[in-house]
Amino acid sequence: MVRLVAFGLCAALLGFAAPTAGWAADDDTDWPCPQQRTGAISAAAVWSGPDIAKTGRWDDDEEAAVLARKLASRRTPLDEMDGLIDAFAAKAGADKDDRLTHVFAGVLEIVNSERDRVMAGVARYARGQKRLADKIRAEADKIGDEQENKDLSPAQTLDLAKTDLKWDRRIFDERAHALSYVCETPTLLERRVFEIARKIQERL
Amino acid sequence: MRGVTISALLIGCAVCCAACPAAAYQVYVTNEKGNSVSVIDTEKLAVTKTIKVGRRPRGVLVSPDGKELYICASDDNGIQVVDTSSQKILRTLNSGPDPEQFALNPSGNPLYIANEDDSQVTVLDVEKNQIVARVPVGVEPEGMALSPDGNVLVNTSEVTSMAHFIDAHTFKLIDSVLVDRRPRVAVFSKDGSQLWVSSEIGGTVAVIDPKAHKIIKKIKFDVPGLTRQEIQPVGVRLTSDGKTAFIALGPANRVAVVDAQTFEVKKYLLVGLRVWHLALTPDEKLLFTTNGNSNDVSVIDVPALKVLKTIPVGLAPLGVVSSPN
Repeated sequence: MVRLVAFGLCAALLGFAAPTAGWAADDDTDWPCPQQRTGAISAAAVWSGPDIAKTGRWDDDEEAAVLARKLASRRTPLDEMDGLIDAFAAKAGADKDDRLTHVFAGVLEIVNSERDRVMAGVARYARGQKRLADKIRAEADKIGDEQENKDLSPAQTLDLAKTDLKWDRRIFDERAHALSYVCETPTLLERRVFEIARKIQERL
Repeated sequence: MRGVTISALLIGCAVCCAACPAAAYQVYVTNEKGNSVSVIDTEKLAVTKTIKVGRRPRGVLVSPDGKELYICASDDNGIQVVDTSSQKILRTLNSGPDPEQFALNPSGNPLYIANEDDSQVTVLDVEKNQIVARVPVGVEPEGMALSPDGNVLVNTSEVTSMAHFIDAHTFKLIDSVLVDRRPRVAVFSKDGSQLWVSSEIGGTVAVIDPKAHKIIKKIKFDVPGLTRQEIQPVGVRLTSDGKTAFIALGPANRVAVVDAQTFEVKKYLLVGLRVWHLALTPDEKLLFTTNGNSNDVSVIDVPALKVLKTIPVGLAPLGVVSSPN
């Protein structure tokens, strides 16, 4: 009976993870998102302008690099970007297309490195959740064992469970709720790069 | 006198048509995660209305008279019928479980529905809301098409990688053609001489002779800088003159323009993130694309083969159809 209560608690706790986490079915066990884990955003996926490999290093073009950093920053709202790109294009001179390509190449590199950090963070977070799930399982087992030895009632078992188990359950639950947002972040970054690339291409 | 009046009317009409280069159609877009349908006016090129519908709306069709819209509300296991003038949900049709894509008989009845979870095609009398037939097909049926003469129904099954040919009168399976992995969309050419089937994981489009049930040509796509895995064909549209095909390439974020006579890819147009489905306006001047990850729709100028505009819609746009008038 006691074991059943403990098992029930454990199942209920882990049940919180199932609908929200949606662990990916591939062998990438550190990746908890339903969205597929993909590599860096490639230039070709978002850009049909000049080849970024043929227009020179973007950070050698100082003004382009300043603009790229500004556009890539999350603090710059999308609706301010048109004015910034227009101002740059107006002063860009004869090699305007190459210089706008520098801006795009800069944005892509900066956002991709940010995206790398986010992806690593998501994997770290997934490992933390797994450790916590193991701990919850062990705590539930421990309660079961203790109660069996002391032969306590189900009500007393529940009291005991309200300590460590309660806190772990809370952390686990909150993290599971946050997961859908965390998993969306790589897509949000991709969307931002695409939006900036589109704005730059309109001015080529 | 009468002749003069008619001539005047004709001239008047000609002047009017010259002044308005394109007729205004309504384009309907299902937002899979927004549980809504965005209505786009093709003259304004903007969303004029948003209709709340059932959960996870995917496939969308319009009746031949343009008065009713059919929407696969996949998570509600039904097809909702929406009055296009009042934007009210009139009724829910008995679609069978998890309807995803479907085809409508050109007469307006019946509806042929792919039931993804049930490995069957449901044939439904739209007026009586009665199931006429259930046809067992391959695993995870998806794409549906009816031949222009109304005699052959085609369904694609995602897991079994087949195009199934079904007699549209007896509902018996005639033949199946193996295509590349995960076939998603099937479209007949207007003259019925070709069937185009897109394979999402295979990364190809098979052009099939629907009489011989043989593949005539397999079209491959190559976008410089992109890996093969990033090219995932889904949506297919053909112009009625049989000269041009448009293929939506999913995470390649591009629409391929294919010469439908030589089967050569002429151009790739960058549209939006994860492009799913396509719709041509009846005058074939505009093509609309649903971009699932950028939450917008791109409008392509068909004669110029250029992207005209991007229109923000709801969350995760998927299905798209144009009104017939």
